[in-house]
Order: sequence, then C-alpha cells, then structure tokens
Amino acid sequence: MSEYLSLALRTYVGGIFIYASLNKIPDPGVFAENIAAYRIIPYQGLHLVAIILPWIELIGGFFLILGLRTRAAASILGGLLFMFTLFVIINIFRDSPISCGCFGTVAEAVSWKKVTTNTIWLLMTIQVFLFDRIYFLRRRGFVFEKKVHKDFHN
Amino acid sequence: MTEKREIATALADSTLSGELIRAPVTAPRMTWVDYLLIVGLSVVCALVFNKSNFKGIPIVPQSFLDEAVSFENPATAFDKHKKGETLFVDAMPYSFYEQEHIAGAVSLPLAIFGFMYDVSIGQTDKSKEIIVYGRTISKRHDEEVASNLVARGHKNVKILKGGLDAWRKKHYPVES
Repeated sequence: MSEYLSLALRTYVGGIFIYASLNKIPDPGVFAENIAAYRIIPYQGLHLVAIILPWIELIGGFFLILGLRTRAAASILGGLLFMFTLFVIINIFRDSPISCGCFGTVAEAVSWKKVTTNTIWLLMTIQVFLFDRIYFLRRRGFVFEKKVHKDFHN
Repeated sequence: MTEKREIATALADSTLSGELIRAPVTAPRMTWVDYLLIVGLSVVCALVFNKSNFKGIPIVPQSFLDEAVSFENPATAFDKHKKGETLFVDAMPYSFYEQEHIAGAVSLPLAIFGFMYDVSIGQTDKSKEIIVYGRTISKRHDEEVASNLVARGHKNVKILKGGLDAWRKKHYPVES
C-alpha cells in the first residue's frame, strides 16, 4: 500500500513543483522581488537564487513524476519545502506585510495556513523518500516487486 | 556478500529448486551523484535559459549608486527633519510604508516609481534636499530610487545611513 501511496504523492508533489516553477522561470526579475521581500537572502546572492531555484523545482518535479532518482529528488524538494516554511515562519513573527510568492505572481499572504500546507507537502516528500518503490523508467519497466526464492528468503 | 547475491540470483532464476515468492524491492541506494545530477542539470538549464531570456537578469545585482549621491547619518538627518526643509522619501514597497515610515516621509516605491513620482514629488524644486531610505539585507531600494531621482534632475539627493532601522533605534519620530 505504501508503494501506491508514494506513487500518488510523488505525482502530486512533483506536479505542484512543476506548476510553481512555470510561473517563476519566465520572469526571474519578478521572482527576485518576491524573494527580496522576505529579507533573508543576502543581496549579492539574490539573483542567482531567483535564476536557479525555479529550475531545481522544475527538474526535481519531473524526476519525481518520472520515477528517476526519486529519493534524491524527494529529499531536495523536501529540503526546499523546509526552507520555504522556515522563511514564512520568520516573516510571520516579523509581521511582514508580504505575499508568499510561492506560485509566481499569485498573491497569497504569508500565514499559518501556508505553513500548514507546506508542512503537509513536506510530510509527503518524506513518505516518498522512505517508501517509494515503483519506478517507471527502469530496466524492467513498471516494477515494485521482485521474485526471490522462498528457501533462500527464509 | 557478492557470493551470497550470486546464489540468490541463481536460486531465484531456477524453477526447479523450489517455490518462487514475491518480495518488496528494497529502496534504491542514493549517492551524491543523484544530487549532483539534479542540481547540476538545474544550474546548467537555468544559466542557459537566463542568458537567452529577454527578461533575464544579471547573476550579481548591479549597483545603482550614483556618484552624485552621498550618505547622511541619522543624527544629521534628524536635525534636518526638525527644520522641515528636507524631503524624506521611503523607497520600500508601499505595504512596508503603510506599516511604518519616518514621520512626514513620502512613499516612492520602485515598482511604481514613474506614477508615484508624478503624484508626490514631480513638482518639487530640483535643488531641494531629498533623503532616501529603504534598504534590506536583500535589496537596496534606496540606491535605485536615489539613482532614478538624480536621473530626473534632482541635484541634492542623499541616502539615510542605516535606513529606517537606525532611525528607529534612536527613537526618532515614525508614523504608520
């Protein structure tokens, strides 16, 4: 059951990250402004983060959906979710009047609701990391079980 | 270990040696190559796309500090604030200005500079002293706005050293 759940979750989380990245990639300048509003990333590194981060989301999302290096992809995207959540919490405590910027230009204020959503997605990536066993693009195609000899197995 | 694996494979492949059962596949091993692949591919794609994107941005932010712009320390700025002869300009986004700003300062956020300039200080004497503030760890709003003001012909533009934080620490007047 865990394998099927992981498959569903990794497709969902991968889709979310791909969707989020597609709003950010075309206009890195706008995304840089959104990150700057958080007042955490240093000035000199701001543009580099704005250029690269959406591509990590896109490629990590594709890897998750396709079943390629899923544990690495899940841990990278989980790390990003942890970082995003931390940034949102910091700005809630700072009482910053900013929008999340999570999905490009769609304005969504930083809030505890956003923290909850991110935490749920983070738990999903942990589930994928621990229990994902279904791979599409492997030598044997769609597999999640293997045949072993009963005598040896016992 | 390798020998054990070979025996397992031989047994699993044999249909004569006993009953075959199905067992879950163990989680694949993860190496640093996996991470390098995902991050490396992302970095390459990002840099190539940014280079070819007409909305691409420089990897390191450009400095907008104009030579004609100097810095003003908070104590001196406060003296000028009391005299009321200097115009204070808040360069932060409007939501931050609404939350808190130096008493009497006008809002001139970078995102809508052209519009706000015409509305708020377009008619101001070009020789009047203007002190701009609004800098965070991530963005130098003050430099960009000051540079834009110089480009519009203002001759006496300065930047408040330490910004609103330094002003607030000295308990100078702010309003929201």
